[in-house]
Amino acid sequence: MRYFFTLMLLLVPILGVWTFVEADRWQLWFPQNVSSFGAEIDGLFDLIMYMVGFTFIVTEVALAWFVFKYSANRPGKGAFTHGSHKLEMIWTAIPAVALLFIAFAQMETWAKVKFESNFPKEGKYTKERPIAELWASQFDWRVRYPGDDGVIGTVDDLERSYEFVVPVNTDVVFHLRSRDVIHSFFVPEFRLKQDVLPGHTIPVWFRAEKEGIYDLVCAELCGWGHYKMSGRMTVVSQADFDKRMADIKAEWFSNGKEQGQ
Amino acid sequence: MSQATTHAANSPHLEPGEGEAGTVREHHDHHELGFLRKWIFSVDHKVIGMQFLFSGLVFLALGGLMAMAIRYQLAWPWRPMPGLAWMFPATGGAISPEFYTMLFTMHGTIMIFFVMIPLLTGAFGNFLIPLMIGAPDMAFPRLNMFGYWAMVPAFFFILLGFFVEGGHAAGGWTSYPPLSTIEAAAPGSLTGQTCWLLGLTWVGVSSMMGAVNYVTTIVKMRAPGLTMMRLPLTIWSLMITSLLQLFALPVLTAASILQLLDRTLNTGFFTPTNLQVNNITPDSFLYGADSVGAAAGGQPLLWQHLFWFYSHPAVYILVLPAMGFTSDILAVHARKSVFGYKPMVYSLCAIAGLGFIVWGHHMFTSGMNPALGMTFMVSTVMIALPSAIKVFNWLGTLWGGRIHLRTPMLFACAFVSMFIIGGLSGIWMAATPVDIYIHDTYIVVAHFHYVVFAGSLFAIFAAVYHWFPKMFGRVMNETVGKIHFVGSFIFTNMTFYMMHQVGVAGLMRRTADPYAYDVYQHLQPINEFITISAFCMFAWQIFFVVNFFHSMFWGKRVGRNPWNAASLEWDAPSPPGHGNFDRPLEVYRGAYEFNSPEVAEDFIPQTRKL
Amino acid sequence: MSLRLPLCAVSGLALWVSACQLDKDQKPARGVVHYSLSSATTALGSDGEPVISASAQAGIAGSLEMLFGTPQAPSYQLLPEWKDEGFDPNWPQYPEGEDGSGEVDPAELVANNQMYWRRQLTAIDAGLWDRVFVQDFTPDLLARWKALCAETPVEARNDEFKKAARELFENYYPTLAASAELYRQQCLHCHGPEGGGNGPTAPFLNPRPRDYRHGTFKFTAVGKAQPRRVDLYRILDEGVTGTSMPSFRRFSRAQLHGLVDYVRLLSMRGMVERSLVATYTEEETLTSGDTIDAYTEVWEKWQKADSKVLNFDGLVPAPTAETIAHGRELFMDAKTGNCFSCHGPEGRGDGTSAFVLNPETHKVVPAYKDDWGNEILPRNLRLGVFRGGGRPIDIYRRIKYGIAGGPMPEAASSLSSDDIWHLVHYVGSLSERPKHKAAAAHADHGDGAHSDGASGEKH
Repeated sequence: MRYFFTLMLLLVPILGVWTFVEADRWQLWFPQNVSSFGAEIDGLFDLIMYMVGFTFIVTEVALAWFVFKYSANRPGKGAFTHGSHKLEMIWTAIPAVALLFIAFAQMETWAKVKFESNFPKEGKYTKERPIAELWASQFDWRVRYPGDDGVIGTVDDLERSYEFVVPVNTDVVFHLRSRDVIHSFFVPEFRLKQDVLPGHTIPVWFRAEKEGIYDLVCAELCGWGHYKMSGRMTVVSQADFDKRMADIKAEWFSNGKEQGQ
Repeated sequence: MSQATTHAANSPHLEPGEGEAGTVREHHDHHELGFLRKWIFSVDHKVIGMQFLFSGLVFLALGGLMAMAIRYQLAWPWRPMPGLAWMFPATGGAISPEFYTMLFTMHGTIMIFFVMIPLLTGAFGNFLIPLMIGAPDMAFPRLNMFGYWAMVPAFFFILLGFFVEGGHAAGGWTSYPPLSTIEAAAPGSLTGQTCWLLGLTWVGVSSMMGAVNYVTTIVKMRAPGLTMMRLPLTIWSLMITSLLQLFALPVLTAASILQLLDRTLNTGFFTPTNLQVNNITPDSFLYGADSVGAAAGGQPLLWQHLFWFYSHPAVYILVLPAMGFTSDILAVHARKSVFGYKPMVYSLCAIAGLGFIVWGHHMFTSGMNPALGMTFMVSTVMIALPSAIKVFNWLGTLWGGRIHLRTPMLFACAFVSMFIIGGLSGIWMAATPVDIYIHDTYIVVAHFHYVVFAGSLFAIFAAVYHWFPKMFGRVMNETVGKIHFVGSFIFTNMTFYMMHQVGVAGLMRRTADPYAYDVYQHLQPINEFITISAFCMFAWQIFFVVNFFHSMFWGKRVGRNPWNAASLEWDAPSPPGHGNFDRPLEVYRGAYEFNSPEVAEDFIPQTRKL
Repeated sequence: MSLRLPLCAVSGLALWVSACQLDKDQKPARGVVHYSLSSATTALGSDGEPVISASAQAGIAGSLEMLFGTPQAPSYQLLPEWKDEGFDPNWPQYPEGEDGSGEVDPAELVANNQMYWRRQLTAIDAGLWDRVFVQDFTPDLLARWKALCAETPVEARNDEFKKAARELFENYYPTLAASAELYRQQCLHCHGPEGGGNGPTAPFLNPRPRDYRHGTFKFTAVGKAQPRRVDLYRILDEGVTGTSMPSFRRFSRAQLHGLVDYVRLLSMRGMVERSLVATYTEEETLTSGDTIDAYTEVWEKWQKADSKVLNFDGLVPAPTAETIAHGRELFMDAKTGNCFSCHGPEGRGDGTSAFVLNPETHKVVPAYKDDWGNEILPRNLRLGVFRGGGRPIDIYRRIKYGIAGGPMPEAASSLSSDDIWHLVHYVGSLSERPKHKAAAAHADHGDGAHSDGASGEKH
């Protein structure tokens, strides 16, 4: 009987670790990373994973082992103890140090991604001069690029639904706006998520390092159509980006005849 | 009374007259009460505990069914849903997306506010506190009765919401405005949200009454000799939980009243200006003035702060009593003193204290000032420390014991095993940069289900098996109990463990149909796996239901102390009569004196004078 | 005792495994959807009897099923003359020409399929067959892929197989039935099984989802005629901003064209139904000749759509201060533009003629209803949200040709196309943000085109 229950408890760490090891093979791991800070975030995830994984294995195996060992029919009385001050000190101090280490290890990356003081200041796009405004509304993403005047909110703005085109290897800053409720900007491949608050303009930056097409997901419940609220992040080379912008502009100011609409 | 004395005779370890040295306790007259006064409008803490227990179990089944519907949709989106298909003839039986949002909103709401909190504090708090501290009843028995009866309007409103136009609240159990405050924003925000808010407010009233009562009872009504540091950890955990409720609940109640005002009187606490929700614009004089909040200028983040200021402590309300039960049950069935009693108490206090300054970790990506994220990260990471201490102490409790693998013990061990998983995965969420990615993904779902379902609910199962003899004078069937445990443990892990990996793959929660996203489409097979496991787990609970009701009437009768436990409740008859104890009590030691070399038996009851 | 529990666990696992096996072979069945008659057809008269007799209703339902099939198997009935021309709207591959659907280059469709199915194609190239996931809403492709896999065992899959597999995905174009399934999953809960705009979600939306059965679509380039395929495609592709209709560009172009096919079928079905009801109301009887006549007539209307397109020739003029000022004059002029009377002097959609006082409730209510019977408000032009698209040409079309099905009229003939462009410029300028406008002006007159926007902000 106790063999069976011990096995059950033991299977938790064994299968638990096994699924994490095999997850990548089952395509159950991170999607590819394409942003400049994504690797750091993945690294921090791994760091925590190894630390908690170690604790997980040790505690779960100890649990199974104790259950196995002390559920045997042994003669005489068990140990009589109310605890050990020394042990308590040890297992308070060691986790405390480890946890503080984890906390302080995070700070640099967090500051890099989210602090406005760390936003790109040198490049073409800055907090004051974003590449675009991304408008969220139930249940749509719309991108508003500045027109020739480089300023958003004027009559020559270009608007495009669904698809957000950005240049590769460039620090991109954009503004998040919402028309109605709270939405959230999430691109899994960028490891980037930021809620869109109505009434606020929230600047966000990233630097995509690989061309491609990535899903833009709404990550905050925004109503019945939350699952429909998808968008597309298209990362292209600078030359292609200029071309795409020219195309968007041509389409915006076209007389509709060429495209038939 | 005569029944009680027979039981006393059955107990081998309690010689009559044992407690004579103590003060004579107030004697309760027994006069026959009518059915209504005895079972419905009872002021007896045990009956009120039962009322909480049974209503909690009914809502548990309801919330579980909703979870099954959610899982069905996630595995086979837009396929006709068994049992619900009749509601959607137009779509050929597939549920509508707003129905799905309602399902997960109400699953969360019901499980937290109508199952876990009432079961942990309402049912076991009520039942155990007077018994474990040697009191005849609660300090305020009538307040206690009102505590349960305040739940009745809550039940009414929360059930009413399902039948109003637009269905029940559908803004998630967190109810973030403006989605929840603006009627046009979601079908569930029409009337359902108002029902939701009223229901929650009444739950809050009930919990407040309970909390005041618990704290007063524990502080003022302990048996002679029962100092605070001799209290069983269950009582400590319930007291800390009550303090959490006392300090945090007013904030939620205030917040939900503010939201109610936003919804009914068009105030604008949480609604910013210039919204166009569902094409209703505030600056249109026709619809604007009285539909979107005339004053407006509000701040949606304010709700998040107020809500999480309560709801993060609420998470500890959901798990602290479970920790207390586990500590007691592990000690009794391992025949071992709780390892490090004082550190256990201090860590409970530390969790409660830190619990008030960590709420911001739910808001790392919300648009809150990122500098605040830093401080909240440090406090959140540090709250893992007392939890770790508790885990180590539980392991220490097992070490060197004489473990009897009875059903409650198995559930308690499973609690430890799965709480480790839930606790450790929380560290990812606390780490701000990692949380940017995993916020609102299935890792979060896995994390809180490991804590609240696999943790707290397993502790509740353990507690039901453990204290069932005290409640009904009969034990639950061991074999069926073990069968229940084996299936539940396996299927629970199969259901929730793989959610970690799905979350790492980036799958969002609360999406009715994620597979149209390119990045998620390969996750359907694993979601089918999870769903089938969840169905099996749900079906497996039939063993519990059968065992529970069968044992209630036909289970094996036992005496006062079937587990040979040392704490006070086992001094009372099983089931205890009105006034609980049939002998005066005096307490001489802590609740965990097992395997002491001083006596021949392997335990010393708290009341025995050596 | 000691064996009972492991045995029990094993049997539990067996239960689980068998449940999994069951699932592998047969997923839960797809929902069966039915077309029903519109409420106008089944309406009761003042005497409580149906206006159209029950037998005639059954006849209409039967005719419609004959002509358009069922939601599970939608198909057009072929007219005899089509056979001679070789025209078959049920053909699953993308039809070129003929019915006005040749507007899409097949090569473009293939290119888009390559993009859309990139995961699957990469997996095929790498030979990772278990990573080729085919979604639930392309049942025909899934069946073809499974058939292809069944033909060739894994070890015999060579380059030829890869080529065939690639072609399967690259050339995918959905059948009508597959489009109906995609419609069921993505559109039906708002637009209803027969496109009546009456799905379960519909009551909570403002504006209400489009009812296709009138054959009227608001945002097209054909004025008030039946829309072209490309008009419908644009709505699916761009969404209708400011409403609950999102962009569905998450699906492939082929799938969206398939949806257009299906929406056309539903719309034609509704039009035939309305036409039959009209005939019955007039003649009190229906013959099979009436049915075919109505069917032919509706098809003609839709096939003519292409010839109805209203284009603006020439370049879209750029706004200047003068054109905007002139646009404002026209906007406020009761004789020419007369926009202010509904859209309000400031363009806030609060003009006096758009509202009336309800004498009973003493409340101000919208004065107009659209063709579908819903109250309708003039657009608030200051929000910068234009449902039919915010491009200058879109606004131009709305002003010049009006909006089908709604109270927005065609522009007065006295307005030249230049006048209309000036109106477009003025309308566009209404949603400018003053602060940003100043910044732009600063950029224009200041030190070059890309001066720091922040300096503008500070003004």
